[in-house]
Amino acid sequence: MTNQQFLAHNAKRIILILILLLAAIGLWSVYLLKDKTPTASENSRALIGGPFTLTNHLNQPVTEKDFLGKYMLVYFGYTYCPDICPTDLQIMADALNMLAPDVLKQITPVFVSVDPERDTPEVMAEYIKFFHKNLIGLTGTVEQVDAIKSAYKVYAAKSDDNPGYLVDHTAYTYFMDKNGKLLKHFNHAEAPEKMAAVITSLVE
Amino acid sequence: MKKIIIALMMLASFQSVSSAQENKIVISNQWARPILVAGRPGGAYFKIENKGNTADKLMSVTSTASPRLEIHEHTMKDGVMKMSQVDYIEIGPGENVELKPGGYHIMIFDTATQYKDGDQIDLTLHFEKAGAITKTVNVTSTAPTSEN
Ligand SMILES: [Cu+2]
Repeated sequence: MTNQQFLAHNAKRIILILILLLAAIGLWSVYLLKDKTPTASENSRALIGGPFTLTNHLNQPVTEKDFLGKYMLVYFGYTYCPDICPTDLQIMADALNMLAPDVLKQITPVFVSVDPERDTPEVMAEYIKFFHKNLIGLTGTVEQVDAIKSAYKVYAAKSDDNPGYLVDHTAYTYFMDKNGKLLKHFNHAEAPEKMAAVITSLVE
Repeated sequence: MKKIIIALMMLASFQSVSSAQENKIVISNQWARPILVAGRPGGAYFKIENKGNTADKLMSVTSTASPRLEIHEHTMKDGVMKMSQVDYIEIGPGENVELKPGGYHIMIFDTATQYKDGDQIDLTLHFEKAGAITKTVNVTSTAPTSEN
């Protein structure tokens, strides 16, 4: 073996070792990143919920205290939303209609507007009646809605400043216990059968 | 050699037959959501099947029910639903695209009437190649179960 051959041979080895090492570091960092970025649900289970002051669809002031003692099934959206919100509210209504009467009566379904500038209590009243007779609509001032958005870790923002603006928003349905603590969240377009089954299993 | 020529001729004739069928766009499963509150936009959905042998594009939608209709899509990022207008929907040859809640949809703004469950509206879909296709659309609050 000449010196050159020897070097070439070793260079190959070194490169191979380097590649393996880099691959290992790569995999390890992917694992670390995964571990350090828990999903919204993992992160927020203990953090979601809290005090709020809003106005219901009957134009009455309400706070979180008015909802304690019952389970709350709550969705954040806006009435100008033509697709996602009606879909999720219909799912909520379908799930409620699948519940046994003794489970249903323990639950307050709530639709909170993330678009308080356009969703007045009157608009909320007109909108919610299409979904479920028990559904309560909540809206308020921009500040009040901002407060409940941050309490519930809801993201919602206007897409632009036109009068016909749309709102980008998270599309989770939260199931809160009798003390206003998060029990479970459902993603957009959950199957109503599954939502009803989960609710039934969680209600005492 | 003869065989190849025959095969080529067959292929050519097949090609011409299918180009006669070009732009065969079939619309089905169309439905529209009711306008729940006056002034709010509505949504409409349908399935587009391209039975032709070239791609076609849905470029726009018009209706006597509204002066402004837009083609929209939803994108979900980190749990946030974002809705945005698209210029067109392309349907490849032999493919189909279904507009449905949470995906592609037609936004119907500033409707002349607050149409309700059980009403009907008209939609005219304008395709780049297939031209205009007008459909009567039932207004219903839940997606009809697709008939297959
Ligand atoms: Cu849209």
